[in-house]
This record gives sequence, structure tokens and C-alpha cells, in this order.
Amino acid sequence: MKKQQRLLAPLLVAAALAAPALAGDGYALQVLNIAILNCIVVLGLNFVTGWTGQVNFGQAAFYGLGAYTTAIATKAGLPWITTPFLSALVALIAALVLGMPTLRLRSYYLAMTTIGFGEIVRLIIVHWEPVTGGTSGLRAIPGISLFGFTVEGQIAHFYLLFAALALAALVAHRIRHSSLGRAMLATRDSEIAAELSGVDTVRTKILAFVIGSIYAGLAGCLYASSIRFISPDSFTGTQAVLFMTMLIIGGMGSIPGCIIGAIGLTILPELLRFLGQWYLVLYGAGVIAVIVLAPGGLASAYPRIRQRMAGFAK
Amino acid sequence: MSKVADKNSFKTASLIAAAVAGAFALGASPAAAAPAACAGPIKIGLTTALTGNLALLGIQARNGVEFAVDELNKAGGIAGQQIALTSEDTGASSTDALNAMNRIIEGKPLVIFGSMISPHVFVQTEPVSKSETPFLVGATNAKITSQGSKWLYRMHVHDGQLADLIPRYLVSTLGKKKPAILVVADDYGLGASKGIQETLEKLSIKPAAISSYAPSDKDMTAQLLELKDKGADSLILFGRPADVALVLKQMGDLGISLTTIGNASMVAQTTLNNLSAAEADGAYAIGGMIPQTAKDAKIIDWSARVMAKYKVPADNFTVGYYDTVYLLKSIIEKVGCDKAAIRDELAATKDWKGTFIPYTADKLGDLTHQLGIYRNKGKTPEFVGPISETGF
Repeated sequence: MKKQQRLLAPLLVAAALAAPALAGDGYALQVLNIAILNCIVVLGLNFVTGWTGQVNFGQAAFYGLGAYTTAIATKAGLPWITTPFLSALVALIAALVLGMPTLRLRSYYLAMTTIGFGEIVRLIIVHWEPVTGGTSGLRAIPGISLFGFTVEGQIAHFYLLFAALALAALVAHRIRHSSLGRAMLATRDSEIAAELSGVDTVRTKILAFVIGSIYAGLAGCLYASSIRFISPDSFTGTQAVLFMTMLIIGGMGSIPGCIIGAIGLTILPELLRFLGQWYLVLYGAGVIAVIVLAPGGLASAYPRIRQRMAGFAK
Repeated sequence: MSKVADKNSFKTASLIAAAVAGAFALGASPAAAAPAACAGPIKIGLTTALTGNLALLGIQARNGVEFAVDELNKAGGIAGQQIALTSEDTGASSTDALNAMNRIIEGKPLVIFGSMISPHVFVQTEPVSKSETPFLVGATNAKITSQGSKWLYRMHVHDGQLADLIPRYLVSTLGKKKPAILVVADDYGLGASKGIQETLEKLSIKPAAISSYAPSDKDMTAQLLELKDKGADSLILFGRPADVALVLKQMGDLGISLTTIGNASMVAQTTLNNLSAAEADGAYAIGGMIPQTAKDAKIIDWSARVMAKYKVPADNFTVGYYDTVYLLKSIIEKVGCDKAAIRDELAATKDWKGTFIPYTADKLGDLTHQLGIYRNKGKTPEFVGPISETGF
């Protein structure tokens, strides 16, 4: 099994790197780039919801904070290299302000707080027009520029975003297998048991929330610089629910699951465009089918199928 | 050499010279150049909101373009070629609007129609301009045509015109001195609110109250009671048909009776369908031309055919998009299927007669400069008269 996984990983990376050759420098690659950004956001959501068991509906707001920080900073003339740090910092501060009082409580308080937080961020963006451009958004955002090299075109953006996703997945993998990752899982399974085992559950929950927010902030930074236009309609509560759906469909707590869910639910509506307005029916039916048939998400489907096949073989 | 031979050689030389001169003359005069031929069906792309909370608006663009395309195809197409229309749904998000546009661009259309949702058009402008394709939109944010794209043209009235004309009409013609402003808190309403405040300031009028409501709000009584308490003598209301209907209904419920003026939503059929005659009566609107008030038999027949086909009444957007397809027809018949030539002809549009109004391109790319003033008599909108943008 481990040997198979070791073979599969380079194959997947090679296939992903060859994607621009198949997709071309246009629509398909643009969709893939947005899917990659969604992967990073959902990986972030996985820290707090998938591994720590706290329901977070504020991920779209953190994504928006990162995007607006980058847009405002680069339009003000700051070099692009500073923007990932600024976006991460703004997301971190917002997460601390929101998380420190809320995560001391148990159950669904975070869900309620983050719904409110999302609405507050949206209202600030809409009404602080001189800075955020209001509902019209911000246009002509400077693109990604690193050490004198400017990233131009979908293909270049794809490789950069792919590298960012690989790094994000690697960091998530390392955290998952660290003491912090084990503390997160223990907190999710039973806060009381975790505390009895010496886990500082409040600290763990705050850390998970902050790390997840930083992921969203960084993805927002890359979104603003690659799309070069942002408006509040990309960071609404509906988008937050969509991120949560991606996590559930892909498989909560699984890194490949986050990536499968985000890519699947970004690409699926595009694949179903030929159905016109009816695509929403099929899309909804597909989501329900996955939840019913694979409650652990798509990532859990493969081991289940293998298990059943082994059962049949016996 | 004989005289006959000399005469023949002179004739040949004269013919060659004449041919060369003729060729140069043709080449030097663009007006005399043959229009670029249209090979195969003429591809037109359209991106608009067909799903989500903006679909009620978006389908009006689709209906206008599609209805005109169907009519033209039945009549033999343009320049002997059928028109192939491809529509893509933008949903309600700018990211989806960008995806939809990239998909349309890959089909290499001759012309692209964008929607009336301004953030969607903002995000789409750069890729369309890069593809060097004429881009015709109905988006109402005044800044849409100030983006510096020479490929973008707008066929619909914009917020800047309304924000200037509505307060002027309210103050100068209707004689109101203490208006309140209530708008939907989205790109459309907040953009207009800012412009309305600026115009009122120029008229030395201080608004009694300035308020807004979220697009999904259903209860606007708090805002209405505030403007009543502040002694407003009139209301400038800017919103979508669904929420404008709610505001007018709640004004009736609260017994607030004010001269109310707003955008075309005040007289939209979808608004009036949700109001009683008493609730709708007396409200004014300034906006793009709507077919409901037409007396012309041809327009009445056209509206009935649109209604029969789509089961949705045509509105000002339907008319704008419909007209623009016919404007394109006249341009393609003149200059052929060359994108740059179509763009240049769009820029040169002057007094092209549409269903209601003449279209003239200004230097930014705005084609519409004449608006209509309407007033509801019970649940029936009546045309008060035309009103032109300042300077036109």
C-alpha cells in the first residue's frame, strides 16, 4: 500500500504539471487555477473543522480579507513580495480577535460568530468605498511580481499556484503528524478527554483557527493578484457554505479529500454548463448522492471500495 | 515601328496606368474598400446571469439578444449568414462571470454581449479587451465606460445619468425641497446614492435622510419610519423591482404618503404585479425606455410576442439589448466581419434609430443619452415625456 502511494504521488504531480499542455492557456486553465485557490482555502478550513471539530463559516471572509489587503497594498505602491505577509498578518489578527473569546466556549458558538463575522466583513467592504471600492470592487490590481519577474498568463499562474498548493499541503501534512495535529484530533474527538490527557484545548482550537485563517488569507492574496479584480460578491456567505461543502464532499480531515472536494466542486458546475439552468439540479443531486453513499466524503470511497472488493474476494 | 503599333502600345500603357491608379485610389480610400466577408455563421457570445439572485435581471439581456437573433435568422441572417448565439450563465459571482467569459472567448465570437451586472463586466473587461472583440454591455455603473477599453460600448442608461436627472426633476419640476434617499446597498444603489447626494448638493438641497437596505432585506419599516420622523417631503428610491415593491407596500402599510421617484424598477411590470393600485399610484420613474407605455402598434405587437415567447414582460434592458443586435446588423452589413472595423463603426454611431430612441456614441462609448419620465396611474405606468442627458 505504501509502495503504491509512493508511486501514485509522483504520477499525480507529473499529471498536474502536464495539465497546461492539455488545457491550453485559456478557459480550462483559468478554472483550474481557481480550483487550486479553493484547495488552499479548504485545506485551511480543514484545520479547524476537519481536525479540530469546530464549525467555521468565516473562511470566505478571511479569503476576502487577504484579497483586499493585497489589492489595497499593491495599489498603494507596496511591492508584491510584501503582500503575502500582510495578508497573512491581517487574517491572523482577525482570527485572534474573533477566536480568543469564542473558542473558549464549546459547541456551535464559533459557527454563529463566524456567520456574523462574514457579514461584518461584507458590510465593511461594501460601505468603506474610498478604500475598498464598495460594491464596484477594486480593478487593475497589480499582478504577481517576484524579484523583477512578472507572472503573466494562465500557464505561469498555474505553476505558481500549483507550487503554493503543494507547499500548503506539505505544511498541513507536517502539522497533522505533529503533536499539535494529534492535539487537534483529540480535541475533535472529545474535548473533556483531551483536557484530561493534558491537551490545552483552547490553545489548540485557537491555533487551528489561526492557521486556517492564514491559509485563507494567503489564498486571497494569490486570488487578487492573479484575477486582478475583486468585488464583495466573491466572498459572501454563500461562498463560505460552498467551501464547507467542498470539505464535506471531499472528506473532512483528509488532505487529499480537501483537494478532491475543492477541485471537484469548482470544475463540476463548469462541466455541467451544457445543461443550462438545469445544471443546478444535477449538481445538487450529485452532492446529495455523495453525502448519502460516501458519508466520509470522496476520499473515504476508495478504501471502502477496496474493503468491499477484498470481502468479495474472500 | 508603325503608327498602329505605337497607338496600341500607348493604349496598353494608358490602361495599365489607369488600372494602377485605380488600384491605388481604392487602396487609399477606406470608404471604397469592400467589407470583410463573413465566413460561415456569425458567432455572437453572451454572458449574463441566468441563475442565482440576479437571474430576473439577467434573463432580460438574454431575451433581448435571443429574440433579435431569432428574428434575423428567420429573415435570412446578416449579410447572407446565419447568426450563431452562444449564451453562458455568470451566476451571481464575479469569479463565475470570469469563467463564463473565458469560455465565450475560446469560441472566438465576432462580438460579445455582457450583462447589466457591473462587477461582472468589470472583471470581464480585461480578457475581452485582450481578445480584441467588440464588447456590448448594459451594466449601469457610470465607471464602466471609463476603464479605458476601446472595445467596450454600453447600450443602456447608467447611474450617473439617473443620479443627475432624478434629483433635478424632483427639485426643479416637482418642487420638492426636503427629499430622503433610500437605496439598495449594492453596486447599483450605493453608486446612485452617492451621485444623487452630489447633485442635491449642487442644487443646494440637504437630504432629510439617507438610508439603505441589504439586497436580501424584507423589512424596510425602520428606514421608512426614520425618513418620516425626519420630515422628508419626498423620497428618492433606488432598487431592484422585488425590493422596490416591498418598500412601496410598506409605505402604504405605515401610512407614509410621499412623492416618490426612482429608477425604472418603480414602473417595472414585476414591481407592479406585486402592488395594489393604491400602493403603486403616483410613483415617478426616470430610466431607459420601457415598452409598457408605448402607443405605437408595432412596439405593442413586439412586446406581446416577447411576452408570448418568454412569459416575462420585456423591460428597458430587453429593448436595449434587442436594439443593439439590430445596430450590429447595420454595422456588419456596412463593414463586414472585421472586429476592428465593427469597433470603429460603433464609435462612429450617430443618431441610429432604435425602437424608442436614437443611439449616439460619445467619446467614452456610451450609446444612450435619452431617457423617459414615467408615472404610475394606479398600476399602469404612463409616459410623462422624454428627458435628455445634460449636454445631449
